[in-house]
Amino acid sequence: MDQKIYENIDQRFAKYYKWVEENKESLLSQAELEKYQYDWPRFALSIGLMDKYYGNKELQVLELGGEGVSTKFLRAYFPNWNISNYCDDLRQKNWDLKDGQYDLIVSMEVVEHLSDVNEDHFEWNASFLYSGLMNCLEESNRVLNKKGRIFLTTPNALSNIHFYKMIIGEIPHQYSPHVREYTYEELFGVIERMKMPVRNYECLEALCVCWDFSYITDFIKESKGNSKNRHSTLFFDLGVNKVK
Amino acid sequence: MDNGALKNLDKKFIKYYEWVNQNKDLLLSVEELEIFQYHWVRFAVSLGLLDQYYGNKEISVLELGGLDASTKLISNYFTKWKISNYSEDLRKSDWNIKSNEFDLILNMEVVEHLTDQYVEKTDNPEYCYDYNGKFIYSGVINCLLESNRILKKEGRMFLSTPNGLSYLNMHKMLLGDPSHQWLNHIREYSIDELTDLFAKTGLKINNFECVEVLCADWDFSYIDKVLELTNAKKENRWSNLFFDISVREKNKKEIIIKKNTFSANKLFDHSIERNLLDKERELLNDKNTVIDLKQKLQNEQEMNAQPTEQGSIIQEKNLLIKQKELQIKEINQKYEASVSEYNRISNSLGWRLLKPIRFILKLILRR
Repeated sequence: MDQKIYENIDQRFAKYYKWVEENKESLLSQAELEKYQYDWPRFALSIGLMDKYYGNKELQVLELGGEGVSTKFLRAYFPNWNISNYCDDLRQKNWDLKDGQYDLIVSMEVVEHLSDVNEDHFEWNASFLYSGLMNCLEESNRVLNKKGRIFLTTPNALSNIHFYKMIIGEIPHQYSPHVREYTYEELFGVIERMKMPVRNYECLEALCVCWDFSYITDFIKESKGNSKNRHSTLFFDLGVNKVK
Repeated sequence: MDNGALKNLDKKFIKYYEWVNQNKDLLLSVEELEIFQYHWVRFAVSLGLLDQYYGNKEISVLELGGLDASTKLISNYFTKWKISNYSEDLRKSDWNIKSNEFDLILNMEVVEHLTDQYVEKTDNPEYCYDYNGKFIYSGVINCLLESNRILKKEGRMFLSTPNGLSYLNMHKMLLGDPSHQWLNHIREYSIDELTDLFAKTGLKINNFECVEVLCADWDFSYIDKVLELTNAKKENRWSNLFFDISVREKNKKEIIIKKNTFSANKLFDHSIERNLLDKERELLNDKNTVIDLKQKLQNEQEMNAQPTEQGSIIQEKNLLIKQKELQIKEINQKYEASVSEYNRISNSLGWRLLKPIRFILKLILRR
């Protein structure tokens, strides 16, 4: 276990980090261990928050995106969950799933990959319209039952690492193939438009846990900027729009 | 006339700014005056640079995007230009225009609006992730490739776009807004990203300017503090990028690979980090080849030791062995040289100072 991350991670999640570190080698393949070598804090935070919000009850769970590392972790940590995956195009309407059959949708690091679906993009003044994201939320709302929840994580476009990259002249994205990285306000605006309530929300550092960004924090304070939500990842717990 | 906007504007653009101010009311409709009310400085800078680069000669000009305020102003300033517009979807391949047709293409405030090419939904099980899960720049690349095709060999392109790394973007981010100058833009590019895209589409940059066109009277000097603190570059932090581009390689055909193999991570590509990594890899390869060759030599010597071989063959083999020994010597020398080079760079002060950047790059590029 990386002791430095263990000490620096939000202490509420230390036990989950420990669990991930202890179990990852038995659960994952060598290639996966290599590919996700910087993601352990994020998995720990996600599992911790899901444990807090939903717990290990008997739930029908749909994970957006193909079966992968996160599915393996969820199956191991929440054995009572009945997890299935949906890996078709999430931006299109009419997902091939029945109405109201799930208690929980897990959408981890997905929404930043959803582009618009308007073929008539140019007639819409060639703007970014959030149509892919809105379709995804709408369909999630449809397949959830009335007490359903959505757990959504995505990189934060206001994070310290963004600002750091802008300072050093890098491409201002956490990861440049992301279609869109959202700020809290931006994503909250879309969620509000879908009339979905935000039950819980956290902004936590899951990427540069051991980094000292104090000079950026100080600078933001000094220049009277907005120092809220400056960590790398946004975690949302959403309810459903009951009107549907 | 608004004097505030002139405070920080380069003197060479002032006469164009005055021209725009005098003529805008005559040339544009009330609606356009409303829509473009924050764009006069940008128009002035564009006119100034167009005048400087191309002048009022008799040339055929294509403007990408529909006929609007910029077309009206430009066609009135450059009376000899023959201007036409192309307002179809720029992301679609095979534009309805002949090759080698134009002397100049005006690509103003367009590329930041281009999404990736629209991909029809298929039954391919990997469709969602591989084709649409990532931004692969296919729309912009198509636009630049088609521009390359329809330009004459000596043709030029004038491209302007917001600067993704500007003071304004950083200022917005400090306030807690998304770093976009305008939220509806698909992408606001950094210079490195664009340079990379031009290189991939057979274009090259002749001239380049970075000018403040939106907040010409704002004081951004407070941001300099954090740039100084981190020894970061202060250049090219103004709001708009203006490129004068010519054709380097005609009819370049970039196959847009739908999977994510396109890397625009220029900083990484050209950093010492990358060079060192490459060197490390070379070293490893060399080591392996040395080991391979030695083993082969041993095997051959064993073979030669067998008495059944004929004399001439043994001689040939001995010659081969000598050649290979020479090769090994060379490789060993190379290896030693690169080791010393590696040690020199990795022990240098600059490299050690770069440690945090290396770490962050590793984090970012982990996927």
